[in-house]
Amino acid sequence: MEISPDNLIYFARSPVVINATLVFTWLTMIFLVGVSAWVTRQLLVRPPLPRWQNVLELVVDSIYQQIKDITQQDPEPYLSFVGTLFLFIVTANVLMVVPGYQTPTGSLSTTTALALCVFVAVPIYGIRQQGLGRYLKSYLEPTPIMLPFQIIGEFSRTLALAVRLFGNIMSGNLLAAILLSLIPLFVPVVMQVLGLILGLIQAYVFAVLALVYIASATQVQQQQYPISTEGTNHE
Amino acid sequence: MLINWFTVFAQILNFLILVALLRWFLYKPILKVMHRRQALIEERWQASERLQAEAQQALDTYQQQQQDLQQQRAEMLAQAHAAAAQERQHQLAQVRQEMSDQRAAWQTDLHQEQEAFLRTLRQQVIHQITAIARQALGDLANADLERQIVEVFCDRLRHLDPAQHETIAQALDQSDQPILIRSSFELSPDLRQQVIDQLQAQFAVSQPIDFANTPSLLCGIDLKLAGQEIVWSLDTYLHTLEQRLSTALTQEETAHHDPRLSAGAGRLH
Repeated sequence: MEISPDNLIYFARSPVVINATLVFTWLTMIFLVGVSAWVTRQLLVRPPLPRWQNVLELVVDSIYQQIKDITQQDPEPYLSFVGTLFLFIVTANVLMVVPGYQTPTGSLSTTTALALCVFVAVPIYGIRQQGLGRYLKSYLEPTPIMLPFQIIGEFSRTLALAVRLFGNIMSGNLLAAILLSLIPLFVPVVMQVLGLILGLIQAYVFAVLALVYIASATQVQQQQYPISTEGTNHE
Repeated sequence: MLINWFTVFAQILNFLILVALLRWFLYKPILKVMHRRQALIEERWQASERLQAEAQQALDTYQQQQQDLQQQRAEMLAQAHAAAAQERQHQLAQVRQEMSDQRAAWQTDLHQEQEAFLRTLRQQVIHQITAIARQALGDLANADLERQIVEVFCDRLRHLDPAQHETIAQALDQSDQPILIRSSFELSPDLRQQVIDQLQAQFAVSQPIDFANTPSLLCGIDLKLAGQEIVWSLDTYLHTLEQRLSTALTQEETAHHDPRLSAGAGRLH
């Protein structure tokens, strides 16, 4: 029993290590991109819409509305990053029910990589939204004494993001494995269903937390200099 | 060690590639289609609002036209009513005028008929009376009526009042025109001589004396000289009878005067 798919190595030549995490990440990427490319190859503006176009529009529109509700800003700049985070995690977690599939989110390396992406994306969005000076100044508010705590907070929340996702998914997998060995019938199925729900919730939590961090970095300016919250015409 | 830093680096790279791929294959096309659909819906919405405004405007115009038409209809109806009332009054007046004219014509005809009847009656009565008188005189005096008339005439000449006698004498002196004696019957020669003798005795006549037969004198004889006239005729007596008969006929006409016409005129209102 492996705790992490990182330990399932297919190819290794230092420093390159091709393990199950990378392989199943690629498979997940191929699946996501393939489905997207297949559905969006012929999109229709006027109804009746094809079934899969409807599904994708529903998914994208839900993410779009969620971002808009949380950030109170134009969602388009954040849609690619936050949406991909959510879609990748949720796909990886849902595919967990496929026998033999090693979910990449059960690897601390993957969750750390995603958390690092969020860690870098927050200042990038913040600086792009309000400029370098004003963004750095936000660390000194409400008082410069808070600066160490702000920096610690940045790191700790990144760590929390990574560990939370990894811990939940890994524990779910581990619990299922232990139960499978103790009570082989029925109970593991229930645990798999619970794992699916847990995977969805964790994907949502990860994406929303990332969004909240980004929003908190970009909303300082709005509190000080209210601008028109002219969103898209997407109502 | 749970973290493999090569895997972390590779996963960051994978994630960034996935972001780029999904942006290209998923978000952009889907958002583009949704925005286009939104624009289409807004365009249709505006078009429908414009059409609705146009429809409302057309409806307003139509209602205005309908109102105008109703108003025109009411005005035309009022005009037609007024014209009909005027025409009715005109026709009534015309009918009344025609009835009045007919009534007047009818009364004129009646009058003429009445006069013709009276004239005929009078002539018949006079003829009858003359015949009766002639018969009576012939039976009673053993003399014909003409002789009696001539004698009465001669007697009237003899007993002229002096003023009239003087006037006739002066007129005869100043005129040389012939004296005309008219009678309703042909005078026999001895009667003519009797008259001539009587004129000679009264006025010493030098002018010639002419005799004429005039049936319109109605059993009588008259003498005309220079504006003076000496007459005896049954016509004088018959005038009284005529007046009485005329009065009787007029009363009868008034009593039977046109009850239907009055009733008919009374209904025409």
